[in-house]
Amino acid sequence: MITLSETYVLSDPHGRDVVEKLAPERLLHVSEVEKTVRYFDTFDWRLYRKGLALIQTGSTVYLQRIVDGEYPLVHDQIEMKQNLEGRFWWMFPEGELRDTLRDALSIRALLLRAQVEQKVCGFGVLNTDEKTVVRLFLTHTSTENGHVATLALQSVRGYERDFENLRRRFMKLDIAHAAEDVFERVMNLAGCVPGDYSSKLNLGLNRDASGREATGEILQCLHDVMRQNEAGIRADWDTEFLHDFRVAIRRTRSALSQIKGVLPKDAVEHFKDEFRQLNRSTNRLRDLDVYLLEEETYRALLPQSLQPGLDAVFSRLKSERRRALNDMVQVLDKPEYLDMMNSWAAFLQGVQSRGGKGSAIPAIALARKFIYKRFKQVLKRGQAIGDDTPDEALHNLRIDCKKLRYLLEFFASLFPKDKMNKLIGYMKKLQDNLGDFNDLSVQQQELMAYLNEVLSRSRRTDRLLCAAAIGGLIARLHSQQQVVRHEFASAFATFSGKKNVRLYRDLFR
Amino acid sequence: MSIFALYSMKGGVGKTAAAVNLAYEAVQSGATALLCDLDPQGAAAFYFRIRAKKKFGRKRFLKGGKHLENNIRGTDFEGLDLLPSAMSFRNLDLGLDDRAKNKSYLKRLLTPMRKEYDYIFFDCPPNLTLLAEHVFRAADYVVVPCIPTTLSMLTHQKLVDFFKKNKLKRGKLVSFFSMVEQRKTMHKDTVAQVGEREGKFLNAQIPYTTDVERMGWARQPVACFRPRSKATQAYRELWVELQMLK
Repeated sequence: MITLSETYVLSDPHGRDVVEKLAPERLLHVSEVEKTVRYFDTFDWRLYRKGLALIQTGSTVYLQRIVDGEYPLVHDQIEMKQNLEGRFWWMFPEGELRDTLRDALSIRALLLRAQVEQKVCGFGVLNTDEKTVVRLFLTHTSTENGHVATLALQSVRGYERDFENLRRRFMKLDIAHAAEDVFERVMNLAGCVPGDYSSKLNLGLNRDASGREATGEILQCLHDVMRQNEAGIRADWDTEFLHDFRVAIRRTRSALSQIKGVLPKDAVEHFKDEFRQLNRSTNRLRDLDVYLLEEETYRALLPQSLQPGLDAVFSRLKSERRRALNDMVQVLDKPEYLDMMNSWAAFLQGVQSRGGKGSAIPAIALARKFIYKRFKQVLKRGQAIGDDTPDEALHNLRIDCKKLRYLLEFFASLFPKDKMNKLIGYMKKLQDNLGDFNDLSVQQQELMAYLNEVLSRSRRTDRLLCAAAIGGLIARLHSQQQVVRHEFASAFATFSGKKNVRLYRDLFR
Repeated sequence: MSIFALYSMKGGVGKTAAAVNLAYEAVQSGATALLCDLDPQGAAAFYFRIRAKKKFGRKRFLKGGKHLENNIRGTDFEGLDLLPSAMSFRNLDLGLDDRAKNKSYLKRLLTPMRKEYDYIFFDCPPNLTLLAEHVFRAADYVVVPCIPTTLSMLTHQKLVDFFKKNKLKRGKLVSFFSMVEQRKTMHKDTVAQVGEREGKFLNAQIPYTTDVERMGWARQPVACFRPRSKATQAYRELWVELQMLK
């Protein structure tokens, strides 16, 4: 149905008598509903970033599109009494809503992001026949932090002129402004800022910043990401808290070792060591997460006859994960961890006042130097790889590429965005290839180790079945790895191509 | 998507009242409905306090597309829209005769609306003309109110015969008793003998009550001003039965 609709935020947060002022003589109070409204999203706001909001009021669940002060439903609402916190897309009843959630959420869980109390009063503005020609909805949203009052004007089909007249009269009253950010206001009222977390490094470095300032900013941002993810790891809402935590550690270590001559050497060595140890304590849990996330993929690799063996493997992995999570949480709870993070934060605070010899050099000069050097190295090492080169060389190249990628990401905001995107695009194919190759070889090694363990220690009757399933998987993974290795040459060709080399030369030399 | 045509050869049997109240019931559970008033009397529009746009008439209706859609107006009830009629609808037959020989022109006119609404209701004028034939082809169900009198039942039989003769799907034809007065013997007997009649009769009966007549004064569906009236209950039951038709 074609209807016009506009929403305004009223200047008076209580917004009383606005409706009476607007249409004093012919007004019909139609409805009044009070409800508690809960907003759900992932920790990294995946729905919000797609312009969506998932809402639960009572047992009704629906997705709204957040556009220009209008909030149309994306699909029909569904009935769901259960709390949505901690749910994944696959825990929703089959249907369009679930499909949209699947695409948006992927493997992340929903969290309760905001809860507000809402009172919606519906009115009809009548014409001389006492026929409703415009609908008004006055909404009071409140939390303990305050109120927001909004008024929505909605046309009735065939009475668009009355809508237009009323809208004009409303604008003349000058008690409101058109609201494009009602959603954000409501969120703020509930004490949260939509989109306040992203695992990506969204830095806006100053082009005139010194190397010391820029490095401090990069490391501070990574420090914040680590701290933000602690609660999620403890609560075990989903696997991505730990993943983001680890990526932030890895980036920190990479920054410490790659951005040379900016920070005091002894401190760099000290913290590099601390973060290496911290990273090591996260490894086991992440490995298990990866296996369990890949469960469906593994299952698809094996025939029906070998599936019972896999069941046993996965149930063992699951109980092992419970132990690993326990260990991880203990690490986070230890005073050593807190002390380390506090001293790291204090160190970053003081970065401005201290410094190594290159700390006053402009950040952009440092960035050019480090990036170009690393690029040349990747190019050289990659070109040396042929079909007969040992696998080791590909592993090393993968690590070099990762270092280069991190450097690009650290300093991206100092260079033109479109060109940086192009560079990263050229790199992606190569990194994907090397990443796949590495994952496949790690998985084979792990399965091999697991196989030895199953055969030597387990006395369970199903150990032979397990062994058969694992053996089958290793064989499949090995042949996949061969294919990936074959594709290396073409993946590297894009990276070492003329266009890419010229881009690096222009930007960084 | 289903189309229900409220139709009867006789006038004053409660077609418009049924169309208005059924359309109202249809949107109560969140569905959307369009009520097309084909009767030049324009009673349906009156009940909903809607005036047709001045320039709207037979010609625009028959042109279809935007010309028709721009004249649909929202009622006071969310999800329920009305296409008002106009005096010139008395000549709809002439226009239809010019346009289509296969008697499905009306059906084609409604194609865009089928996507937009869950239900479409026709309030038809009381006669058996070319327009009626178009309605029979466009509708999924031709819903016929019958007053339980001998004369009414004769008329009903004629309609059944017409369907037979013109090879229309007789399954489309469903009837219900309207304006039933339990104290009248003839009404009671006619209702009791319904099993001997040709055609499908629904169980729900609309009683004769002043509440329905008062719609003209309240200008609302009965459920809005007499929520506990027997008539309200009867229309609700009738709608439940109509929804279950398949």
